[in-house]
Amino acid sequence: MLVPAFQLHLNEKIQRAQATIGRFDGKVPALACATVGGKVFLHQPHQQAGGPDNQIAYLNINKQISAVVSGRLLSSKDVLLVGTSANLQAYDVELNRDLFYKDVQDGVNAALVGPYASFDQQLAIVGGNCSIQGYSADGSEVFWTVTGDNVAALAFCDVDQDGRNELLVGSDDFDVRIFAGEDVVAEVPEADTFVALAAVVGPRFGYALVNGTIGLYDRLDRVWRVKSKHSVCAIASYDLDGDGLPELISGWSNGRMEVRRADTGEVVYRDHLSCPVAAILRADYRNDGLEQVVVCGVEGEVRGYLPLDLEAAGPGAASEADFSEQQALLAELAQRKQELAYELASYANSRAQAKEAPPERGSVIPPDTRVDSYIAVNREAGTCDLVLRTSNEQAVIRGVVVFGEQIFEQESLFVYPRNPDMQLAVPLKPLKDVAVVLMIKVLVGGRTASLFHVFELEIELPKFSLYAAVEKGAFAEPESNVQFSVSERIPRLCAWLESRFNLKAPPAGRADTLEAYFLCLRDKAPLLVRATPVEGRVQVTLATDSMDMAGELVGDLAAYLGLGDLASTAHFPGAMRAFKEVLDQVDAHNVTRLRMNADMADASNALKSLIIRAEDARILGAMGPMRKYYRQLADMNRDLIVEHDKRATNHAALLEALREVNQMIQRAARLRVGGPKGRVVALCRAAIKANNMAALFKIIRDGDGPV
Amino acid sequence: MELELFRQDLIQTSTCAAGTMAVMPLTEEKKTQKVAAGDLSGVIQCFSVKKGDFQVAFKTLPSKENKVTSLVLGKGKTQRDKIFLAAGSQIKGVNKKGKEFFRFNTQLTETIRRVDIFEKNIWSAGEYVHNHFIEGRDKALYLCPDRINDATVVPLAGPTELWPVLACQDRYVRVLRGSAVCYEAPTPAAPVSLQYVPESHDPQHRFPQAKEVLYGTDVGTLVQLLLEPEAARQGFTLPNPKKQGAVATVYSGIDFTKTGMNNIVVGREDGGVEVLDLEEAGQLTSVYSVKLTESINALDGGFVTGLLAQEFVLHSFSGKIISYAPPGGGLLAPPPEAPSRGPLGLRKAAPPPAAPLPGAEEEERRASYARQIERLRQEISALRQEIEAERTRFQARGGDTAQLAMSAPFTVQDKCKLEADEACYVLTIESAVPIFTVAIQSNAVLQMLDVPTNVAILSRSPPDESNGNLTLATYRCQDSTNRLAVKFKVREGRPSSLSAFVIPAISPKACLVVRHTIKPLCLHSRITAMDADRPTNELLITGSFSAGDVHGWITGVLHDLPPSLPPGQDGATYYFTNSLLGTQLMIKYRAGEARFLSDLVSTLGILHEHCMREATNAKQRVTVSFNPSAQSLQHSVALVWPQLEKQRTLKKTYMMLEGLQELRMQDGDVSYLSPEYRSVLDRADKIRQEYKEQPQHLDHLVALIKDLYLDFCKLTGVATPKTRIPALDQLLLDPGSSLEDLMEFLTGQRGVWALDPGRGVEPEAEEEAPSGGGSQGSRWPLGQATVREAEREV
Repeated sequence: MLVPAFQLHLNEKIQRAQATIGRFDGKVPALACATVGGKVFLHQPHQQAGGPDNQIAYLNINKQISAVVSGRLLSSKDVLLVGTSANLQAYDVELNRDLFYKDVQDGVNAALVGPYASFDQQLAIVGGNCSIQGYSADGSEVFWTVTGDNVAALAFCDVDQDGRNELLVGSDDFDVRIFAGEDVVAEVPEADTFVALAAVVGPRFGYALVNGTIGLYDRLDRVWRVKSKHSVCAIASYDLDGDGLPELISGWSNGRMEVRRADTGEVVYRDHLSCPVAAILRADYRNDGLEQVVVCGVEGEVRGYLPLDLEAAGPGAASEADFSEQQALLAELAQRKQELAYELASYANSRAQAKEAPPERGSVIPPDTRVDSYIAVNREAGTCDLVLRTSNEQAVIRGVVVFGEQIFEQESLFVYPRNPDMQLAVPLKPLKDVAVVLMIKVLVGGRTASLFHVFELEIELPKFSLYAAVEKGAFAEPESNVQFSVSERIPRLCAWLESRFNLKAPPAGRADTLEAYFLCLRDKAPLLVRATPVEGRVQVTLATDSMDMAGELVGDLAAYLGLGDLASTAHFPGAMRAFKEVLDQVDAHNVTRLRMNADMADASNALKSLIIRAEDARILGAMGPMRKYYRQLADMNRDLIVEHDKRATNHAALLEALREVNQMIQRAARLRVGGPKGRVVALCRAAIKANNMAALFKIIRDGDGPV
Repeated sequence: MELELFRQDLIQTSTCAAGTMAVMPLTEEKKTQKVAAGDLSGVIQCFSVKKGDFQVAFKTLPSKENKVTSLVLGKGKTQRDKIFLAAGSQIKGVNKKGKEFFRFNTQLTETIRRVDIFEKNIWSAGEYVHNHFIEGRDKALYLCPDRINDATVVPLAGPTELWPVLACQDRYVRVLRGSAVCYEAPTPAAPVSLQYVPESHDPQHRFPQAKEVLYGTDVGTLVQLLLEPEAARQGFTLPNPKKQGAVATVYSGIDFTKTGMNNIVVGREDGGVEVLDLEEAGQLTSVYSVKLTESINALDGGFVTGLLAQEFVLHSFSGKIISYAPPGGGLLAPPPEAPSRGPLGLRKAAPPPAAPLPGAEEEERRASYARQIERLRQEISALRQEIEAERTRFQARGGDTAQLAMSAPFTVQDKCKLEADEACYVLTIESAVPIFTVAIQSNAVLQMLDVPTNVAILSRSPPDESNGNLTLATYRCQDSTNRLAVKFKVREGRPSSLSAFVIPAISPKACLVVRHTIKPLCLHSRITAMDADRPTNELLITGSFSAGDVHGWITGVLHDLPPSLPPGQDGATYYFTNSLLGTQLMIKYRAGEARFLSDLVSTLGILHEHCMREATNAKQRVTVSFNPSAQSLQHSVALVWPQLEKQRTLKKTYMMLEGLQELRMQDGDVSYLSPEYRSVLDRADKIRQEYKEQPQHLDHLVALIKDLYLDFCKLTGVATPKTRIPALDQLLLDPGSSLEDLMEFLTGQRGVWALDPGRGVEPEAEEEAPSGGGSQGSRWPLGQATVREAEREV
């Protein structure tokens, strides 16, 4: 049993994931949390002056706060960083002044402070709409890169154990990207949007998803995961059981706090808060030299936990716990024994039945029944079908339960045909291109049975399974393409196609060239893969109108061939035309914004004077004019609301357009691998800063260019 | 006072039926008591525990035909150590050595669920029939009007004059005398377990002659009933505020708390076990509780593992026999580091048990636990080896995995029950082995609800209408889960079926399907009387049918009815209440005439439709007459109205919430808002939660009122006024409309209809105008708030 070392109730709401503990005066710790109404409160238990009533101080931000973090941006003390949807404020609490205040157009969805990559100082890393920025202590932007979608979670972890922090970025496209410097070194697909990421120990890191899953990765391999129907609010890691290995600690919407072993995911401790957990922090909050795990609840409950010290616990307490543990172990062993007895009894029964005269075959399926499975493309329905077939007339498929990540709306699909037959097609429509292992439970029995045999199958759905191979000339070649050359042989590329696509026959490739045509069943978009040998190398052309698709293919091919660097030429006239429009929009929205701001200021002034006049009239008892002024006020108010709506729409459109820009850079980067990839990002950023749009297009096309 | 009890796992049987375990009486020598248990694989075993060692007195071989469905000890003087059991329609007697000395084939068609033996008397209770045999000859027979859930015999008229007492599904405890009911005591809910307690809990000795029985109900309450030859008196009741499972078994024979009165041990269907203490004032308090993961099928007690203290023993569904002993009792082993033998191999004098050394017991218990764990581990590894050997043999034989899966003793206990308080159904599935997944299929739209105690993850599949599956879902269990509760809401009107495919987590993998039908009036539950003041509609069906025909019709529509008409009766009367709306239904029928009375027209509509179909299928001529009551329409609408209004308000506040929260964020201090809005802000999370939980509830209620209206029109012979339905829709969804508006709409239409059907459209237009005004009125306060906000911005 885990007993809190201390427990407080602050009577202040704490926003989810927006709490931090820092030594803002360089000496004693204080807790800073975002609360309601755009405010941050500071709880300073070690502040002696003013007594206990004065432990809470407020900072007014007056905007919706989206992130609260702290860190040693200054050498002598921690700095409080507050992010909103449009800016980042670094605040020196002790001196009550801003260290810097930056406009961050992409918003601050998540932030953290720490040493990163080769920078010799601590950086404040900020993740927004598809972009990641790094600021130094003076507020200058020293680092910028893009990612696939809105950033939801950030964490530092030394995944490759080279002594330097990598940055883990969980984004809304369900991917964790691992950045070393400005380059993405790895991507890990997951099943849902991220809630949080946390480094655990060495190359291990934990993750939490919106759908209630938490789990742990060791480098790029998932060690374990568990799912709950509650939603997870925060994760952190700390060695609470004192065995030398940090555990993964999770906080949940029902107030539960769980400590799970990093290696097995087994629950070590549990505790319950009275309200949903808002954040889990690690700090020496008592200022006695021992680090605690501090768990904050959304209603302001704060609990601190110390690692279990076996020596310190009294003998009585230990033995009390001991018995319940033994009883629990006893119950578990009894359960295990029962399960084994069940299996044994099945064998015994089966033998007994075999001895008896020919067993009734009524519900029992023939002994040699198999269930075969394959994946077929169903072009009419636009799905790829998982086809299951029994090898025997007497055995029909009553139902199928398929479990798979990321391809269903929820985690499973249950198919129950009205008339069971030997064959059953399960329509699959993966929402995105991803290789998944399907866990299939096929219920097979006689035609009238009520007890079924469960066949368990596993089948890997190829990454690009929703692409149907078509004949040459079935569609016009897409006008857009990406080209690059690799020093590989054609058969190797054929092998890649075979493993990634759902091909019935090997791709029609002569030894010298490879040409394969596909149709994406999701949006009926054509795709052409062509490889021709040129001067000892192979020139590869991927023709598709979708840059995302091309990027996905390039990344996958490079990984398959083990290429570290790959430069390419991108020719996407359609996408570029659209991008040009987006850039125009950004300009237009920016202009509108400035103009509207001016209008708004005018209207506010007029409003102010009207109120004064109206109140004057009221005090003077002149009811007629007062009524007139208030009527005008009401009119103006209505106009203002209308204006505000317009402004809000404009702002939303602007943000959307900016997101598009970032995504375009990301798409362009994904058409390259390794060094050239990072170069595209850096050059694009420079071009945007210099407002050199012509160069931007050239960079996207060639992956290089002067800025 | 809190009790401390220690758990000991004794043995493991196969899955068992309810009431198939008993503790044998104390013998004269100083020996622990033996425990006898039967299970569904047909094994009967009897074992004892001596100084921590398990000794099996006997164990029979499994046999599929002899599934043990009841196991008791004889009640006659010389029979107390004889085991009697029922298997199918057979009753057997086995002595303590395991020798069968008695066998009696009752020739009954029903499976015997409970047997009782007193000297030459045998009482057997089946599904509906209760028999009394003397020396193998029929003495009495009673055919119960509804299912017999449990039965016992009580010496009501003298120590040798035993009378049967039955717990029946139709909410009666019946006391029989011969073949006739002596009297029946109504119960608040269906009694599911019954226990005669010789030492009655009557602290004030008010009824020294009365015999006590305790019965547990399917809603989880426990009631004391004091029986006398002429009448019964209800004693204390254990309420069930935490909504725990049904009381599956009761035992009272040990005084753990040393109050002079035996404690009552209650075993529940959801695995809960509680020890209760009766206080002077007649209040029951829980002194010990523990929660197992499977249902408790039998409870008994005695000196089982030690002679120092009595303990209670339970038999769980999957066949675990577990005892709970108080401090001082139970399994204790000498601690390993202190050898208990003296230097010459002589036993040291044992310390007097009255004054054990402090901490010594703890040490012993610790050692005993270590030993138990060690023993289990050994058993497990032995089992593993056996399985390994079997597996090799199986493969060598060219094993048939399908057949293996079919021979798995995979049993599932399930129940689908209406949760009247919440107007939803709960399907509980309990399996002897851990469940991997339960896949649910239904041809009706089921709204799956969350069950807080479930750890299973629900995943809905999109409905597949081409195959007639309107609901498809899977529940994936994590850890090792043997029990799963699936809670869902369903609409009345159409018969539907529900199948649950249970896939176990361990091999061999067989999948068992459990099916339940949901009848058209599925939200109706039986009540014993009806509120006569309500205005009712009447549906009268006459024709040349028999009473049995009508009974057949209505059993197809309503749950909770006996499967056939009680014998010797030509007609019956039943009362029901709709758990969602609180409306009532009375059914009164005899040959040639069936009368249905309800304050809700829709109910009659459904009944009418169903009965007509059944009658047509049977080629029977019937005449239907309907006597509607306009007041009843109003009355039933008024019943639904508060709920509708609540849901509408909820929706409105939910929509408002966002705006209000933004205001608070902007201003920080929202004290200028009206108290109403401030309270909305304070309840923000609750409102959100409520709204999220019941997004379809409002639609459900609107559909209900519409159905009501359409049914009313249909049954009164008015052509369905399709054109008016959109207007009704609007009226119902508009948060400004009042009950009066609605009533006017519903009845006004009737008036107009009577005068001139052609003008039916006109009042509709008028109807809309005031309702529109109402909605504006409701929007005004929010607009005001916005103005204020703008002012403050300056």
